Amino acid sequence: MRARSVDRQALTRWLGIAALAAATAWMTFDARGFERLLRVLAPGETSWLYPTKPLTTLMAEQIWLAAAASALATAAGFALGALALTRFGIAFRDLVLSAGSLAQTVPTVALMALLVPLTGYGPEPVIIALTLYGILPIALNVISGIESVPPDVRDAATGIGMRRWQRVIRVELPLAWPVIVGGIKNVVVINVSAATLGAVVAAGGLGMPILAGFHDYNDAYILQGALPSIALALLADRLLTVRPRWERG
Amino acid sequence: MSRTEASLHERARAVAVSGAVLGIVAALAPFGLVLRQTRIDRGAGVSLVDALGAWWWAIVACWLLVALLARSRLPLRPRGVAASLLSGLAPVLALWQAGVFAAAYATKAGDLSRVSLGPGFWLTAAAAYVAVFAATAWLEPGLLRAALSYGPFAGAGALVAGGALSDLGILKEYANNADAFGKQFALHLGYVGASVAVGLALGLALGLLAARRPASEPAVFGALNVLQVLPTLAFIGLLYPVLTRLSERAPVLASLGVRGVGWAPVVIVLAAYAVYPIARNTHAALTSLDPAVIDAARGIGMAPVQVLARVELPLATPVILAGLRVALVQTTAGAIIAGLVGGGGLGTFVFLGASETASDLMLLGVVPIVALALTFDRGLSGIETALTRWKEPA
Amino acid sequence: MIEISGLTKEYGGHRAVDGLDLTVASGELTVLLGPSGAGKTTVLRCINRLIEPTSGTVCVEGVDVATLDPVELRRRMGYVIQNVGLFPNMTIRENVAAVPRLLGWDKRRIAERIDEMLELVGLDPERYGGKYPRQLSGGEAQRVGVARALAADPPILLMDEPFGAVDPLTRERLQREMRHLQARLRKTVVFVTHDIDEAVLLGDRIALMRDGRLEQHDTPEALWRRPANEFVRRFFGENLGLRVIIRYCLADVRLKPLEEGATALPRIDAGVTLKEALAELVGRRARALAVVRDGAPIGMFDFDVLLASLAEEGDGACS
Repeated sequence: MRARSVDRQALTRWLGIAALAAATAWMTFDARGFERLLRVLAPGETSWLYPTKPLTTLMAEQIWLAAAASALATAAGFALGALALTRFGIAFRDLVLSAGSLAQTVPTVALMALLVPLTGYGPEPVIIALTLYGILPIALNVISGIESVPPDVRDAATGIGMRRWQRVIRVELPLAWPVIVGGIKNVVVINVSAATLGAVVAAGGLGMPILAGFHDYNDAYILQGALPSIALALLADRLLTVRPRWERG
Repeated sequence: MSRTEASLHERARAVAVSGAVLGIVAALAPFGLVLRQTRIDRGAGVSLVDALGAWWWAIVACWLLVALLARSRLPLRPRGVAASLLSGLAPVLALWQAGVFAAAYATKAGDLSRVSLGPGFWLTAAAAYVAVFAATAWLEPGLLRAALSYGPFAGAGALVAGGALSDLGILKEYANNADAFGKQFALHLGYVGASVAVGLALGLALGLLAARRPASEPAVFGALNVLQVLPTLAFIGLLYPVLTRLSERAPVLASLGVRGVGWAPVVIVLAAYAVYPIARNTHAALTSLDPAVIDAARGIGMAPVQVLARVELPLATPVILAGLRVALVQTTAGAIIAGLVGGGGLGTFVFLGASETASDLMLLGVVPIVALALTFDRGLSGIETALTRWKEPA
Repeated sequence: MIEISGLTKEYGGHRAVDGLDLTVASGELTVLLGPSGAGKTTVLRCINRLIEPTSGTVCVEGVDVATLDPVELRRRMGYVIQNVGLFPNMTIRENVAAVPRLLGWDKRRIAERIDEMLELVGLDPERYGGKYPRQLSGGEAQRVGVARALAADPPILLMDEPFGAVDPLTRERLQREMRHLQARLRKTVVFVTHDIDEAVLLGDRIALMRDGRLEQHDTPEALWRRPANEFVRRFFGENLGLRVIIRYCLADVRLKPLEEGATALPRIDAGVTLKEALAELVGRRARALAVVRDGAPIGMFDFDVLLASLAEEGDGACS
């Protein structure tokens, strides 16, 4: 009974992921088919596909922007969070937490725009801005994840004779993992969303047809950028929504 | 004093020292200020050493004293007061002298020239944040600590108000856009107010629904999560055809200014994002109440309304306020998008600045946004603290 | 054998443990007993070096633990704590396998050992092996904790209020099982508790502590008969005698021979403790009980038998 409902949860999750992945892939690769859909949704237009770049390129740019920034932020955030948990770094723990909430007051797109004078237009300001923006949330989740490990469990791990690294690898990280992945998910979702705004600083991505659509009052261009980016964001969200084995049932 | 407090005070020493070191590095950085012949020129950097003359030594002296104080055996209170004052003084001095330098540069290089605050200055501000954060940890929470924490902001505000900075790029942009600035600032606040008001009403209702009818919880939060995940620009894009057609069919709406772009999609999108944190915290607040407390309230003879008013709400309010705070900060930052889709607001300056590579114009939008968000954040967390006095240790 | 000498642990001027000397003989279960704040847990944690003493030494089998690698040391000692500290991310099998894995045992040996250990603590390996800790009751989790501690067959077992967090009924059952287990395994056990009944039931010897010092270290019965000082007497109170008789079985005492009419007396099994027999006597308002073994009466138990058994000092073999 219990096992079956767990299986059902897992099944619906994977069905959702498969459907979103299929939708994203279809819109990206089947330009003809997607155009037919856009013709139905925006019958009044005379042009349905954004002419400057094909959707495959735009999608590739979008994924590149989000993935590069997410990977860099995760690596740096992990390092910062781990550092703040060491005997030396613990002094900076509260500072990291405070700065993390402070950084949320700066709009992502503003950070991109402010970097343009330093980096020029293109993907660089987007990747740098999103990386900077993502580091603190990841560090925050690494810290709170590791700190949420019950002290008894930590004590038992040391008490039965685990070395420090064994305790971290076998007990603390697995237990902190859901919280850490939750942080990574937030950052990835923000990055997929913010990457559409990369169009503002000429970084490419799915925001370009949307902005072009606003500019030309073309519904089809807007939807051509909006629908795949929404599918991609939902896909990332679903993929990174995980519940560990030991918490189920 | 407990052992943990003592070790916290010890740890703050290292943080304060690193703040001071960062401050000295910033003072030596090659890009202290940025000089431009015209407002959209790429510009050349000048270090704070070159720009500030003798005052540079005063700033470095501030940092050295902070580092010395941090290592000293002085009692906590005087050590905390002196170190926070000096740390806060450094960026204010730098800002003031940047203004003086800008005035001199303007008379030399002409009216079109611009002096902007560069990475070196912003790093000085960051160093001050680190050092003040550490130094105020040596003080008891209270009025003095608050005054020392926010003093530097007051100092910067006084410099702006007193006209000492009017030759800096950002204030020249302000002077050029004074009328528009007031209007866009008000508009930005209007977007935030309207969206958060709608978000609050919906969030309270949905949070209450999910708490009282647990069966509805997955549907409510599933839907809100999807909304939360939608990319802003794509969300507005999705609304565009819908709102365009709505306004074509319903002249009433059109006369209110509802169009595919403009205020309508902005408020809808921001309100949709604001619902989630408020609903989540309302739900959490109501479901995490200790049943024994409710039981006791009923047991001593309170009517259901009294239980809600005297027990449930006072216990839940701080948690709901925390959700409101997240929503406010997020919306204040998010409302920048209005500038991109014809809605105005402070984002207008940011996107205009981005297209011209005029960083001072961008800052004219960004600085007030950050200031607003910080004000909301600090203000509401102050209220939360005041409402949770009962949580403080005896 | 564990020899603790001159053990002192200071925390910011406060002495949690103050010059403690204590020897725990091999194969014996010594209970560290005392009011909270007496320093019991600190002593325990000094043995496996989770805490480093300010001064003094702990020797295990003649070797000063300070000279050993603490991690290697801990792997040779089982460790059970109050809230079990099972690893929530590991199945029951993985939890029990933790120490053997650390010691690098091969897979087959570990698998066999897990089954053996789970059966030892009364859990069906088939049914429980694949579960996660959060799916267990408090009592079940505590058994897994004991199984994990015993998995690598360590000669020494350190237990810190292992049954403190479970309900009274389960606690009693776990205590009785622990007593049987110890009678079979004969580990050198240091057991921390503040529960006098638990100490009397389980301890071969009780080390009573106060303010970081040892007040008396002796068998439960000796503590009752010859308290070293006023504190010991007051700590145990007048009814320690009543508590101590839980350590004796009817089979251990000299019963009265069967009299005429004994068949009419309420019957009681010879494997029952004196405490239960006394309760039976009082509960049934009987003058005497007929003691039976394998269904056949072997003697009679009454207040005279009880008093006579208390006159001489025994060593409490009932298990």
